[in-house]
Amino acid sequence: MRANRVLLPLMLVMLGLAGCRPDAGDNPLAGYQAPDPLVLRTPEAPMPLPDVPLAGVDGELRSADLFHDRWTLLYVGYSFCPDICPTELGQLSRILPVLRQRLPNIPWQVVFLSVDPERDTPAHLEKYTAFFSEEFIPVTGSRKSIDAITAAVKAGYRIEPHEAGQTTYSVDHDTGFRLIDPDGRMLALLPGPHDPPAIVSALENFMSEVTK
Amino acid sequence: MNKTTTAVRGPINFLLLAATLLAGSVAHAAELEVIDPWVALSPPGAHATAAFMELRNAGEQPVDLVAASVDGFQVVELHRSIEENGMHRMVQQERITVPAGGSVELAPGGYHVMLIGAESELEEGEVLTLELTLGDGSRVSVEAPVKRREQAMGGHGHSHDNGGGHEH
Repeated sequence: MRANRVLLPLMLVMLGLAGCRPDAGDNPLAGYQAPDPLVLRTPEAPMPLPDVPLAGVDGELRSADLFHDRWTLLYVGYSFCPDICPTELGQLSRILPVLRQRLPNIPWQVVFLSVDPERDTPAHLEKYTAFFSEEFIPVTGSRKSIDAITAAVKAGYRIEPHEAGQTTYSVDHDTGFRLIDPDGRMLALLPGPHDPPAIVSALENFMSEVTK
Repeated sequence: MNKTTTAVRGPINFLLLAATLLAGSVAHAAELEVIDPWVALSPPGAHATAAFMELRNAGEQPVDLVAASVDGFQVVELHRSIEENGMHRMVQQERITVPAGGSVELAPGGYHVMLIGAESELEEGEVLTLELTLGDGSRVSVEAPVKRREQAMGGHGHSHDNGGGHEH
């Protein structure tokens, strides 16, 4: 399915933070024109992520430390997901080694943020993501932390209302990959549907134009 | 490797298939061909996975898939993944209609049979029996091997290599 072209202007408006004036002095995105906005698109200015506590496989960590000194592809989902998340994580498991090969000087990582901590413990997430790649970094956290991050990168999600203890509820979620820089700022959105070769090309173009 | 299809291609097949029908002289099951059924290998501890296949309807009436069952799962439902405004949702389907003379693909990112609560971990190469119930009450039973997604989706999503399902 192709992304709905009618929605593109709307999404661009949503991404362009109205009222947020890019600081001309430090806006690596100023003047960058993505060759194909259906593959990779940029906000007007970097979107900073908050520094919040998260739950990782080795215990609590700070989100600022998680993103620090790395270039991250962030994917937001949940492990109960029977179809979309496994497909997308499979795509990321193919993209990561190719990125490392093509852009060897950039420290890439893939972070999977589960918005479903009720069912997704860090121990469970570790097993789940390792199935796709031993290198993926799974995290979750309190609802407050999850909401702070998803709001900052405009990744909507909705958990189906359910009784406490019910385990079969589904979660609607945004399937974009988000590019986070080593300062913990979102610089680009790679919306679905994802085509790994197109994504690698788009990221090569972006990194060569935006990071000097 | 042989191609797994459940099709009415001749009198012997028809007899085999007829044995799986509940009722109906022109049962929909006799018109429905199920091509390349497979179940996605799920990560350890995953609560849910999905079965995929292509349904072809050789008949002159639309055929509805209304239910599916697989031994060893708590719940089996028909679902469709849809994308709206950049959000992915799963929507349970009462039926999946295969138009007369047409086909419907159950494939990643679209229609699928959702399998919830496996009683034991699936293993690659294992063959599950899917029982499909059609709108007229007739049933089709198909053998679906468990595959890794990337294998099943390799090439154009139609691998006719079915990891050794055996006829018994």
